[in-house]
Amino acid sequence: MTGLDADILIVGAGAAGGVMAATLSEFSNKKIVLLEKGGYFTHEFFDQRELDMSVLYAQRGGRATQDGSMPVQGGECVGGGTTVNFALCFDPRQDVWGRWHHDYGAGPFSFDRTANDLGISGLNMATCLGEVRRRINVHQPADGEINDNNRLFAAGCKAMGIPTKRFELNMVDCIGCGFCGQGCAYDRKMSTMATYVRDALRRNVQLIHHCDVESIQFAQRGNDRAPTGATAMVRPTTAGSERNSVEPGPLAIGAKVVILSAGAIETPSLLQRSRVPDPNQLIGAGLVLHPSLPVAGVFDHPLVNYRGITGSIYSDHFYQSHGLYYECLFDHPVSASVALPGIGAESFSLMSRYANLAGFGAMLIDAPDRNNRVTWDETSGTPAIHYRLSEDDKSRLRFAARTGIGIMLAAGAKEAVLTSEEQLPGLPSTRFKTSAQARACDQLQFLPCQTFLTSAHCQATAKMGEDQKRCVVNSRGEVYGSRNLMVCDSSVFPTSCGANPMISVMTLARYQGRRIAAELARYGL
Amino acid sequence: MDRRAFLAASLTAASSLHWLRAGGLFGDTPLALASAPGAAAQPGGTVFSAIVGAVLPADDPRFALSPAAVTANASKLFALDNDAALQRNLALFDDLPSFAAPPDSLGAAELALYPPEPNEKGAASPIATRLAVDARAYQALSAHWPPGTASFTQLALADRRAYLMLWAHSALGLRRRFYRAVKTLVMAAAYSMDAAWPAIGYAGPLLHLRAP
Repeated sequence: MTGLDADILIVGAGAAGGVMAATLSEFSNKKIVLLEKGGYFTHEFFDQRELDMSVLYAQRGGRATQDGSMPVQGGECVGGGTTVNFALCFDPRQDVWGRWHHDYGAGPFSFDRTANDLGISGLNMATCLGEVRRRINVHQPADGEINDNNRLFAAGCKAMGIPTKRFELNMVDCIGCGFCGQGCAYDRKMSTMATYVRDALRRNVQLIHHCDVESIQFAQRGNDRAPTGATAMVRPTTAGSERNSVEPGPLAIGAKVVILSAGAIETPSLLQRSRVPDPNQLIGAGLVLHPSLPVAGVFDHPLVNYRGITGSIYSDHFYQSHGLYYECLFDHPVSASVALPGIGAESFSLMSRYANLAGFGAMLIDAPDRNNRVTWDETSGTPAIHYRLSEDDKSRLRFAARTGIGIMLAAGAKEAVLTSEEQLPGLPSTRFKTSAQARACDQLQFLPCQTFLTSAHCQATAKMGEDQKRCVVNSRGEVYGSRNLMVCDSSVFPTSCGANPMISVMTLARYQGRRIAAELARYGL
Repeated sequence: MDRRAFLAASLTAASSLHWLRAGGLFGDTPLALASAPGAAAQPGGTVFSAIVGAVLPADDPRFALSPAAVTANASKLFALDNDAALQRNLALFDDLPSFAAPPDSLGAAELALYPPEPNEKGAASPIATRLAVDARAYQALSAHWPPGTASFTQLALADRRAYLMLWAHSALGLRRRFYRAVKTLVMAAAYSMDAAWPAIGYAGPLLHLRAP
C-alpha cells in the first residue's frame, strides 16, 4: 500500500483537471496530487493507427449506451478529450450561461472583463477565457488549410443558402496529417496534456496515472461531512506510457480538499460509489450527450478528405430554430466501414470509393431528461449509461438528415448516404440521389441500433445551481451536504453548454481554480 | 496484462465484444439454463468464418483480403475461440429455424434492454408483435431456400447476406445489435489491416513526416 498526503486532490487530468492543477499551482503553494485513470502518452507514442490508439479512449473506445445504440466516446488519458479531439474551439455561449444564471441561479460567471465576481479581484469569465485562449493558441485556420472535404461542405451550404463559419482551433503550425483523433504525433495540438498538465508538473504537482479511484472517504462529525482522502488502485504502466510517480498497487491518499474532474460519466459514478448522500437521486441524472448523425457523400472524383485539418468549417444556422449544428468531420477506414450502411457488395460500393467520399455530421443539442442518466454498475465495474432519444430529438434528427442530404447533393455529390440500416419506402437503402428521395427521411424511426449515431460531449450529470432540489453542486462547484468536496468539469453544466464543450470546460476550470486559490481559508487551507 | 488480452480489450469493437461476452442475445439468462442450439448448429469458429465471408466483399476481385486472413486477424485481435457466451450467440445465429421460433429468454432479454417505443404503448405485448414481424420476414426469405436448410453455414453466399440483413432490419433491438456487433468485429478486423488500404485509396499513417 502506497500512502500519500495532499492538500488538494484532483481526480481526472483532462480539459478540467489539467487546467485546475495548473491554475491552483500557479496561484497557491499547496501540495497538489493529480490522478488520471488512463495512461500518460505523449506524441512519440501516437502511431496514427485507429485500433492501437483506442487505448486513449474510455473503455478502449468501447463505451456506449446500455442499449448499444450509441458510442459515448471520451478521452481517457492525460489530457482526456483534448488529447483525442479535433481541436474545435467554441467560446462559452453567453446566452447559455445567462440562462443558467436565470433558471438555476448558477452565477455570477460575469463575462465583463472588469468584474470582480464574489468580491475576488479580477475574477470573471472574460479574463479566464482570454487566458485559456492564449495558452492553447486558439485561432482560425488560414484559407490554405481548408481541405477539399471542408470546401465542398461550404459550397453545398452556400448553394442551399445556409451560412457557414470557420472553426477556431487550438494547434500551432499544424501539418495537416488528419490524425487528431489518434493523438497528435507532432505535439502541435495544444491539448491540456501538451500545455496545462506540463505547466502543473513544472510547478511540482504530482501526477499519478493508470489510477482507478475506488472511492472518496469522508469523516462525519455531527452535520459536518468532509472528505479525508481517497483510495485507489494503480495499474501497471502500459507499454509506451511515460513512467508513473508511484509503484503499481493499492494507493491511499489523504487530502483536505477533493476536486472531481473526471468527466460527466466518471464523476457521477465516483460520487455514487463513494455513497455521497443523494436524497433526490440527482447524481448522474439529466445526462446530455449531443447525439450526432453522420452524412456521407460520394463524388465522381477523388478529394482530400482524411488528410488536412479534419474540421475547419461548420454551420450554426439551425442552432436557434432546431438546436442543431452541422460540423465538417471525416473518419478513417475502420470507423467509416463500421458506420456506412450494408455489408458485402453494398458496403464495398462505398468503401471502394473511400477516396471519393465526403463527410460531415449533424450535432444535436439534446435537452436533459431525468431518465437519461449514469448509474454506477457494481457488478460489471463500469458506469451504465441509460440514454434514449426523445420524440423531439428524433424529429429534429429527421430534419437534420433531410437537410444534410440536401447540402451534400448541392455540393455536387452523386449520392448522399446516411449511416443507417433503416428501410425507407421506395428506397433499397439509405442512399439518396435526389433531394426528392431525401423526403423519405421524414419516415426515419431512429429505433435503437438502427442508425449509427455518435456522441462525445457528455455533460450535465452533477448540475450546478442554488436550488438543492434540482442541483448536485452550488455555483462554486461544492457538493451539497459535503464540505471541501467539489466538482469541476462538464458534469456541472445544468444543460448542454450549447456547443462543443472544450473551451467552456477549460474556462470554468480556470475560473474555479482562481477562485479556490483566492478562498483557501474557506477550505481550511 | 499480456499482449493478447491487451489487444482484445483495445478496440473500437470493444463494446460489441463485451456485450457478446456478457450474454448478448441471452441477456442475463445463465448459459447453463439457455436452450441448447439446434442439431444443425456448427462450431462457433465455423459460423464466424461464414459471417466474415458474407460481411466482406470477398467475391469482388478488387478486395485484396481473403476471408481466412481476416478471420485469423479477428481471432488474434478478439480472442474469439474460447468464450462460451460468444460461442452460444454464434450458435443461436446459425440455427435458422430459431429465428422464427426463438428461445423464451430472447423475449425477456429484449424487453429489459428495448422497452416499448411510444407507438407500441397501446399494444398488449410489444415483444410478441416484434417477434411476429420477424417471423413473417423469415418466412418470406426462407421460402427460397432448398428444403432442409437449417444452418446459416449451409446457405449460399447471397442467402447468407440476406439472412444477415434480416437481422439488420429486425423488429427486435437485440437482433439489430447482434448484426451491428458482428459487422463491427469483421470490419474492424479487415480495415485495420494495411493490405486492405490500396483497394480503397487510403494511404495510412504519415509518420515519416514526423517533425524533428
